[in-house]
Amino acid sequence: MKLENRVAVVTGAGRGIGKAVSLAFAREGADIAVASDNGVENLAVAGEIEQLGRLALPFEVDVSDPAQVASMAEQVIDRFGHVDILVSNAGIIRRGLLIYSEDSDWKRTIEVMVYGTYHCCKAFVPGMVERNDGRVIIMSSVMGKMSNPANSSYAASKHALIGIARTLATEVVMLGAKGVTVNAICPGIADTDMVTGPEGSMAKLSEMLGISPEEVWKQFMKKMSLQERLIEPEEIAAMALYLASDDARGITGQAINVCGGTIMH
Amino acid sequence: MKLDDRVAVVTGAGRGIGRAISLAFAKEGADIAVASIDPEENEAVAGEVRAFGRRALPYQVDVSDSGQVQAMAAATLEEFGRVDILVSNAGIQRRALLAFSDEEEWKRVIEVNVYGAYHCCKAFLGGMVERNHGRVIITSSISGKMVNPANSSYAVSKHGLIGLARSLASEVAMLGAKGVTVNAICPGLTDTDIMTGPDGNIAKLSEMLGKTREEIWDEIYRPLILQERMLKPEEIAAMALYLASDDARGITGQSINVCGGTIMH
Ligand SMILES: NC(=O)c1ccc[n+]([C@@H]2O[C@H](COP(=O)([O-])OP(=O)(O)OC[C@H]3O[C@@H](n4cnc5c(N)ncnc54)[C@H](O)[C@@H]3O)[C@@H](O)[C@H]2O)c1
Ligand SMILES: NC(=O)c1ccc[n+]([C@@H]2O[C@H](COP(=O)([O-])OP(=O)(O)OC[C@H]3O[C@@H](n4cnc5c(N)ncnc54)[C@H](O)[C@@H]3O)[C@@H](O)[C@H]2O)c1
Repeated sequence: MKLENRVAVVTGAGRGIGKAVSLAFAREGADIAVASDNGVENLAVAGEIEQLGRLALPFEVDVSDPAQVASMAEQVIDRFGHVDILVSNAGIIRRGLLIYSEDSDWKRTIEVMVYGTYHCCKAFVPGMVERNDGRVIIMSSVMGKMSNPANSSYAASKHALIGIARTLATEVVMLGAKGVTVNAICPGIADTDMVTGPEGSMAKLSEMLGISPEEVWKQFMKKMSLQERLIEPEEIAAMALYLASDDARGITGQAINVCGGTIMH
Repeated sequence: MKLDDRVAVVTGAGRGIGRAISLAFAKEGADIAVASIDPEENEAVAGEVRAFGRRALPYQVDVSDSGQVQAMAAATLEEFGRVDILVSNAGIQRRALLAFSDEEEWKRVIEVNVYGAYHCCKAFLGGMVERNHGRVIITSSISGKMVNPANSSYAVSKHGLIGLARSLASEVAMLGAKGVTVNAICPGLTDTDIMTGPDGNIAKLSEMLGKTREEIWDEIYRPLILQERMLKPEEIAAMALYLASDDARGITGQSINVCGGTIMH
């Protein structure tokens, strides 16, 4: 198994990509802190992990709150002793044209994704540096490398996360921890609540534009990828697993696209 | 196994990265056409492939010669019936300052590295598109994204290969074959003959600059690499295996760095 007895913290683990990552890691032998702001979903995923014969610690947390992240870190260390892998994946979308946007909505996106990742890295990376062993995997997006109209706070956050990944990759080495790698994954449009759920992008755009979700797919999303399909959460999880494994010890500071050819840079 | 009964053609398979890829694929169940310009090395690697219980076809070819590549394609199809995976990896370099370079030598690098990939893609892609299933993996280099002084032909060829991978990824989708992916891998400095062999970069620079090999490593190469180490061919092979597997069905048109943090774009 690729992650025998490793300990991973996955944020946004209650559903979608984070859930797929948690299960892929557990299947390869890791114990998981299942963290998100939805306690019910955390419990359900924790149950699935236990069925795979691994330990799970469900933890309800708002990653934008440093105190909550610090208390999560304390409990995770208490339970598992250390953390080998951090997957900073929690994320939200607040659509709107920049000029008409609500300040609080716009800033909330940055707080959850950028500050959330900052808080989690601050809480979990020092232990990795100390042991000179660890993996940080940050969920950016193709929107971290391209324009995303009516979604500038999201694009700004995802661009920023690539900056964090590159910089932190360099800093851990400056601290002498060449055994710690830091990378971002940039998924293309994926089949999760964020896109296909009742409040997802498809439903929102369909409402905003007064066209059916099928038309939204045809007009706005289908042509965005060469493969003209949604990416499955399991495909993102496979890349996270690869980056978490020993095979990827030489990969650091990268932002890797899993996007069916939406972007190529 | 990840590549059960797939058929792969690997060029430059006689040693170094190509050998590591051939063995990683064979370990995961693939049969391999072991192609390079050096027949003795091909035979040796074919023997290692067979030791994993897989079929091997050692094939001597100069990939810069379209006639030879076509003959290789015919021989491979006759032996295995089809080709699922092409790893276009054969490569050379001829160091020189552009201003003082020998025209023949300069062009030879383009012919082997770029025309070689062109010929192989042309020879093997038709079948993949027809079956709407296949993987093309091209070994570019970090020199495909950055400066490589006194090695312009190499940098030009490796930049060219990224253009080839991106364009071809789009073309197969245009041809309706969304089941075919095309990607490049950009290795950083890797411990193979090109770097550490008797005619390799370290020996050459040591001679050119009148310094010891240790000094060349310490002064020129080590500072380039965040992890301050050379990569192992097996680390590049692990990425090739990932891209060849079903897990990577959503990754196309990418050029992925495996470089210990030498570059981050
Ligand atoms: N679905 C896509 O198309 C897509 C594409 C690229 C990137 N992403 C990114 O992938 C990540 C996961 O998203 P998903 O697609 O699985 O969507 P999702 O909405 O299904 O999951 C988001 C997760 O984040 C959690 N979360 C939200 N706010 C939080 C907070 N303040 N604190 C803690 N947890 C919080 C949610 O509870 C949920 O578990 C996000 O960062 C998203 O931006 C998604
Ligand atoms: N070693 C590195 O640091 C490094 C870094 C980035 C990229 N690469 C690339 O990786 C690939 C493999 O190189 P390597 O490091 O294993 O070096 P290598 O010299 O050990 O292997 C090169 C292989 O290509 C074959 N070859 C050369 N000319 C050929 C021709 N005309 N026709 C057919 N086969 C031919 C050789 O026989 C050999 O099998 C090359 O494309 C190289 O540019 C290497």
